[in-house]
Amino acid sequence: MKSELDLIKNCQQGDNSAFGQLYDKYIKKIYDFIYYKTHHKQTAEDLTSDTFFKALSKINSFDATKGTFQAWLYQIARNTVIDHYRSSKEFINIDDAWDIEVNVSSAAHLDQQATLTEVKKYISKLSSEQRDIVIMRIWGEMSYQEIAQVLGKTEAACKMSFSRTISKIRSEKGLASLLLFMLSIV
Amino acid sequence: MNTNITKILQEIYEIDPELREYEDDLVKIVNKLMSSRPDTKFDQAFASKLRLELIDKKSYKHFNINFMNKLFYGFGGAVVASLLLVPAFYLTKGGILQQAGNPLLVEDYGLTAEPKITLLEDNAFGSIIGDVAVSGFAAENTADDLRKTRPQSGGGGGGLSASQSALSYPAPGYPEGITQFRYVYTGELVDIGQPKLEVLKRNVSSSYLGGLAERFGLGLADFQNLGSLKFENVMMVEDKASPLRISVDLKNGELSISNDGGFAQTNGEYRPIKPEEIPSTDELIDIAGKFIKKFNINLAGYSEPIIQDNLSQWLELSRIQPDYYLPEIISVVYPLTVKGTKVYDQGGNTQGISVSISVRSKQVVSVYGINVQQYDASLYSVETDIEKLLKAIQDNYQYPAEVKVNHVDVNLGTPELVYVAIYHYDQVKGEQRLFVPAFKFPVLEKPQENLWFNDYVITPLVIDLIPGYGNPIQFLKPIPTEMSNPAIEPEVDILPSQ
Repeated sequence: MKSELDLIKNCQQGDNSAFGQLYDKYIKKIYDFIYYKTHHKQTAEDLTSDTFFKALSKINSFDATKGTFQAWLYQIARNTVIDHYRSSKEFINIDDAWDIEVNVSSAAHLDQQATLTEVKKYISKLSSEQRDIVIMRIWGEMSYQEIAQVLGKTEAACKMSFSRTISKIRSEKGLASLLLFMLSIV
Repeated sequence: MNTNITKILQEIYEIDPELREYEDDLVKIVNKLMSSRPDTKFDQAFASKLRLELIDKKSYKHFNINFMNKLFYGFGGAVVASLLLVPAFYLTKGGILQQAGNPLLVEDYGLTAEPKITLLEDNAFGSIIGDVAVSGFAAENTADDLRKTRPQSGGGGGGLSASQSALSYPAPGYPEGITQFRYVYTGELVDIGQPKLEVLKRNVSSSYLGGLAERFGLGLADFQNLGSLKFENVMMVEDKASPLRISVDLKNGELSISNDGGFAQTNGEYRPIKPEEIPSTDELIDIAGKFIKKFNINLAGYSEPIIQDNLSQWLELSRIQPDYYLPEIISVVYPLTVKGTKVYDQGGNTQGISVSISVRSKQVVSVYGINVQQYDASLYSVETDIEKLLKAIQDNYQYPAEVKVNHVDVNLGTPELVYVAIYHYDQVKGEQRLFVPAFKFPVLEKPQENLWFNDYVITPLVIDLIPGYGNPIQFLKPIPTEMSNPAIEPEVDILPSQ
């Protein structure tokens, strides 16, 4: 079994099958990550396609000394999602679907309205970066080292951000709201 | 406690040990977040397909694959993914078109270079019912054509308008009656699986050259205080005899090139084209290819070139009838595909980059249809029950009871899902060029009585556009594609005045 670096080198030398092995390893992770940010299967598939085609076209620019391949892929995915929303006339000032007001007109863009609405009121108030840390840590089950590489930050900064995010969720609601919130999950 | 939660909490406590006091709350919050993780609906079929595209077509950028392509799976046919690189053209200060690559120009002129489809809300382009421009075959075969005694050439009938339904005499010259073709579907069961399909509209930035327009006062007037002028069309001409003319439609994101020097010089005398003068298909494609390459016109997103104008049928006719007219201009078309789906116009012609070649000079005389590849998409309700579709269309083309009609059944095979380009005028939005989903049915066996029957029939699927679905504007009949030569009109008198 070739190492990931060997696969990348082979791919950079024109071996498409090597890229295929990299693809197999990351396709679901990248797709899931994009889905968590778009909440729409069709959009997620489209942007996942864009991400991998961009990665393939730019494979020669990947530098292993600057970070892992996984982080590089996630960066491309993250930027692809941001570009998607910012280039849309409808969603020009947002980075992902969490900022979309849930209404009739946007319903077509989002799946699973009921489930997401519940956490949306907390997560949508976070910054795009804070949100991504929560998504990558809790839903993506990524380590802080991996998250840090994606965001171009230190591990400590990412941990700090996550900790403060959880604390913020807890404190902003206040005890009464928190009880109501807790009741909803009991 | 879940080990994942434990680990997460430990990480939090490393940063903020004080939060340990609220562990119960934190557990519930983290647990809630974890349990809210959505099902991402990961589709292995999508992943497998994308893998094939990536590995087999490394040099292309994937544009989009959406549910419309599921129809191809249902037919067991190979799906051709739509892989587009945007053809981006910018005006340089020298006025010569160049391909994208200069970021300064991108910023200066506000042009974007990424091909994409942006999904808007449903019915975003308004109701398509309304004034739709009629063109091509649909326009030609109106009730007026019946007056001209033109034999039916397919399409389900002559299409009498409501105002002419009171006609009470048979079409002159046809005492035996009118032949009306009825479409009979004999293909496979079709299931698109969607009650709605995407209608596309080209999305073109309106900020092209926005900062320059105010300066074009020719020294005769000063427009700089306006501040909101924009160019819609720019025409550039080579400064020489028999120049190239380049038309840049900035409003619709389209380029066209015409070559005055491409026409053969004549001494004013007309001489019909002979069959042996018609270049071969390979030669025509080679001529077109060289011109395309000369200007580095980006063909990504366009399929392999085909010869338009049914050249083989023209040649066949000329063999039957030696003095039959042969065209002076033959077009090579690079078919446009959007999301792997071909696009036709209402006349049934393949949409794409059309390179017209003079038969006499063997030179390119024009190139049209070089377009920006950015679209807005919006879902519209469609009718996909084929029997209902054909019946609705045919029911709208009825002849008065007094007219004798001879019905000839035409068998249609399993359709392909395509786009039809239409021009739609909306009172609020103005003119819109839209690509609407349609079925392209192959004609399985042409009627013996009419050897020039169409090879295909196209029918739009969007309910707004289907006659008989409450649409008072009957503009679209099944659009024949790859139209044969019009039948030779017999010499008969026009209708006598009443």
